[in-house]
Amino acid sequence: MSHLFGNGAYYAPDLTKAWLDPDWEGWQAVTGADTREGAMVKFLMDPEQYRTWTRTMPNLGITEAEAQAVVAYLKWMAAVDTNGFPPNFNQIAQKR
Amino acid sequence: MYRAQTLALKYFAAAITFFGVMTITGLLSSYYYLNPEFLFGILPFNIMKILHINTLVIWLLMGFMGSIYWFLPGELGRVTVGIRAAEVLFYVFCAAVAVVAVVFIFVQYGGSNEATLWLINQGRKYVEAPRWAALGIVVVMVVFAYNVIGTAIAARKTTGIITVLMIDLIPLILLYLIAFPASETCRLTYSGGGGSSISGSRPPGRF
Repeated sequence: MSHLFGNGAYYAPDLTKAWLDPDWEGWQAVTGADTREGAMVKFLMDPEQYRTWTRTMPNLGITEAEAQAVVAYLKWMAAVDTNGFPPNFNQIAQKR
Repeated sequence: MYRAQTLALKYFAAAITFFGVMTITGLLSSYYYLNPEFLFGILPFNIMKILHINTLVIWLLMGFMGSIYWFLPGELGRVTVGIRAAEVLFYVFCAAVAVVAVVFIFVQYGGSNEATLWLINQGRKYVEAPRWAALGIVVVMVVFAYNVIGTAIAARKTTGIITVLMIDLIPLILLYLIAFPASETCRLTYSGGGGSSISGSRPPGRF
């Protein structure tokens, strides 16, 4: 569905820099989570409840520990120097 | 007609069938882009995409094998060695592909453990098939290579085409063995850490 480094199933957004997405601040309020990590975990465990787009992420039935592992992985992924990739991500971040 | 050529026609029929499945699942995958609610909660886009791409790999492989079974007797002028095993494996191959497809459609996901990699889905682009199926394809390819090389040895002759084919069959056998990581660091090392694991800067596992 989603992809990393532009490689994947191309249906959902590229998640290489998902951890840095400024939208998570708003999602903290929606999910009632104390931290950005917590908001991401809540989203990953019940994506159907937090619909953001016409293409909804399916519920993969992952446990809380697995969701935390995914968030940790995305944090590590966001730390990779991708030389500006994905190209539109920085523009989105600057606009806000 | 040689027995290998009868088998070739079976492979051709199977390849055409999987080509049809590839076309249908490809069209359905494109329909998700028009109607994102399509089959929501029943069959997600990524499973449809896996079916589309994996049946593509299978029909190409079966078409390739069928065409070789077709020209092998003519090329070497003799009956194919080990054709009985090849005939049995054709049905095993078709049944295995069907089982993998059924598991993709009805099971879809597994937990983060080794059993998922062995039985459900490896989650690797283009080679999502579980490890047991990867091993099964290796067995089919070994028998296929035995048919080609054994027939050439029994006929005590070879041609340019057959020689190139024999060399190319070696990487074809090895291709699906990349399902098995060579080093310990490639293995799934998630250790099931508690809630505190995400507050640090390092993710769980080995890096």
